[in-house]
Parts: sequence; C-alpha cells; structure tokens
Amino acid sequence: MNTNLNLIPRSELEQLLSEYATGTLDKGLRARVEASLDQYPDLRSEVDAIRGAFTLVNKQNYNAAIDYETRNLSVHVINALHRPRRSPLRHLAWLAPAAAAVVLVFATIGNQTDAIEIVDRNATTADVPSGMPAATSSPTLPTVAQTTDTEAEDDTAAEVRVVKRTNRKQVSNSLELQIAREEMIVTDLVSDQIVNRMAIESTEEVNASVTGITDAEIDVLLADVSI
Amino acid sequence: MSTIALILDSDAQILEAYRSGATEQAATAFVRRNQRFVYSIAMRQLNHTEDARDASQEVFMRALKGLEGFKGESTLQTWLYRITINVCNNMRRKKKIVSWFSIGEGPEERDVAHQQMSPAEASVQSDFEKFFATILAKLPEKQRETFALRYYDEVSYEEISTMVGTSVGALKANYHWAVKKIAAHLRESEYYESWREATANEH
Repeated sequence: MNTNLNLIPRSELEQLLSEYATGTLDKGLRARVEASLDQYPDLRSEVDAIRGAFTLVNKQNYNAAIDYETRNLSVHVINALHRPRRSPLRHLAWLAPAAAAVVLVFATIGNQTDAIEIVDRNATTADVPSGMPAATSSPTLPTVAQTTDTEAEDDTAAEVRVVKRTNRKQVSNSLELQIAREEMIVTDLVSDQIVNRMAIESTEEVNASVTGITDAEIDVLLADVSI
Repeated sequence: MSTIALILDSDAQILEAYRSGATEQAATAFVRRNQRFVYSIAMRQLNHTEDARDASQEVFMRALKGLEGFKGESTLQTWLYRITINVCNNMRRKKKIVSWFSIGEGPEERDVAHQQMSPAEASVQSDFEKFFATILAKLPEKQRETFALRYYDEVSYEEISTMVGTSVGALKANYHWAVKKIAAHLRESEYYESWREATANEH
C-alpha cells in the first residue's frame, strides 16, 4: 500500500520519466514512480509514448552485433602482446631522406643564384685577380648590393645604372685590372670596346639586364651588336 | 585456459590472477569481460568498425601493460574508458596526418571507404539499426555518450560522472533529453508506424 509520503512530486517525477520508460531506473525508485504516475495521466501517456518508441530499439541486437565484432579480440590482443611492435611513425619514414634532399637542393641553388646590383655608373668590368677581397667589403670598390630579389632596385637614383646578373660577380673601378679569374661588369660607357663587350654579354645571358641607360645609349648598344 | 578465464569473473579476481603470474589467463578474462564496453565506446568515437576493432586491441594492450601498476584509484571500467578515449583521439590524429601525407587517399576516398561495409557487417546491421545510428548521430555528443553509457553499457551515473567529469545532475538531464529526442525521432519514423499497425492487428 503506497502512502502519500512515498509519492514523488510532479517536477521530480518529470525528470525520472525517461529512465523509468527505458528501464534504467533502479528497483526502489521504479516502484515509487509507478505509484506516483497514477496521479498524473499526462505523464503516464508520455511514458507510454517513450516505451512504444523504444520497443523498436533492441538492446539484445546491439549487444549481439558488438559480440560478433569482438569475437576474437582476446586472441588478437594476446598474440599482439607477444609480437614485437612496429613503429607507429613507419608511414613517415620517407620524410627524413626527402627533407635531406630538399635541404641539399636549396643549399646548391643558394650558392648559384646570388644576384648582384651594381649601383655605381663608373664601375668597370674586369676579372678579379686571385686574392682580391670581396667587392662588398672593399672600401676601394664601387657600391655593390647583393640580392636575390630583382624588385629591390633603388628607384630614386635616376643616374644609377643597375646591372643584374645571375652569376657571381666581382667589381672594380680600375680599368687596369685584367681578366684573371672571374668576370667583371662595366658600367663606364666611355670606351667603345668596353661598350661592345657589355652589349654582347647582355645578349648572351637570359637573366642579364641593363637598366638606367638612356634610349639613345641603348640604340647605340643594339647597333653595335647587329654589326 | 578458457575454463580459468571463465572463473575470473570480477575485476578483483582478474587483478589478483594477473599479479600472481597467471598473466595470459587473466588477460583473456580481462578482455572478454570488457570488450563489449571498450568496443562500443570506440565505435561511437570512430564510427568505423575496423578502426574500432584496432582501437579496442590497442586499448587492451595498453591496459594490460599497465594492469600490474593499476592502483585502483578509480574502477577498472573508468580507467579503461579514459584509455579508450585517449587511443581514439590519437588514432584520429594519426589518421589525419597519414591521410595528409598519403597520395591518392584524400578525404573523398576515405569517406567512400567509410560507407562501404563488409557482408558480415551488412548482415549484422539491419536497416533499422542504421536508421537508429543516424538518430544517435544527431544528438549532441554529451547526450549521446551519456545515453549510450547508461542505456547500453548500464553504467551508473556516479561512474559516468567519474569517467566524463560531469556532475550526476547534468548527466541525468543529458539522459532525459537524449531519450525524449530519440523517442520523438522514432515516433516520426516509418518503423514506428509499422510497429503500431502490427500491434493493432494483434489486438
């Protein structure tokens, strides 16, 4: 016989409906909910609706499916425990040689593609004798800027002639220096011989460019080349 | 071996057997006792039967390696739950990395593979179960996990609270809302109509 003391208030009962309807409520509470529901027909019909819907959900089928999937799991686990493990990063084993190759390629390209900007119109071209200090560090040489970015030209220096080459160059303003080891760039357009040579060089190398020269000077250069 | 494994039917007995040197028998009993629980969590986390099987194997291997040092600060089930979640998270992360590096195995190919089922899987999973899986997938993760742990795995709220770090009150609310949403979806389905018609004809 249920007494009023055992009955559950409506607000509390509403929270227990789902558990009661799906059968997960413990036995003690189940009996109290059952008794309390008699007072609230709307809650009773809600329970019936949930129960009806959950009739479709077959817990046994769910568990049977899992049991089927895990039927040999213990055997696999025991076998795996006796087997030496392979590294989980084995899929990425190719990364180390690939990274080394990339580093090597970049190192090689870095040594070959230093571009040089010459910002002195009086610079002369000649090969640097062995033992000569680097152009950028010598106070006796014209200003030389090394860059790999061809956009990094100084637009404000209208008079400045800029020569960009893909090969490493050394620069000297002495006309007396002769070809010895490395090729030099000439921007002093006084001697026809030097101008001719410069024009020929500019047509030989795809990446070479001469800027800061007037149209008239370019015409002269091109005329010399055609001859 | 299997006879001994059947005798070990509690966590305490399994632990004792494992520590006393009957490791293989204890390991077998341990896996059999918890395989349904571990696999169902892995399946919910990974949504792929093969991955769930691999994850379950990994979970038990890790657990067995640490079983001797298990201090009992939580239950074995809670401990296993945490290992399973960790293994599944790691597996998802590794799969993302591997698929990123793998040529010809983009997300599209993987999705197709996910949709394909073995004949065994197809026979086990009926149309309704597929439909029910889509209903579960629509639930918020906390509600889905609470519902599955409580309804299928029959874990107490106190235990779930330790596993997922949510208060018992919040878990009860999660379960309540999950059940209401599932019931609503089921009632709208053709399966429910068929069931009602069949029930009416019986009467």
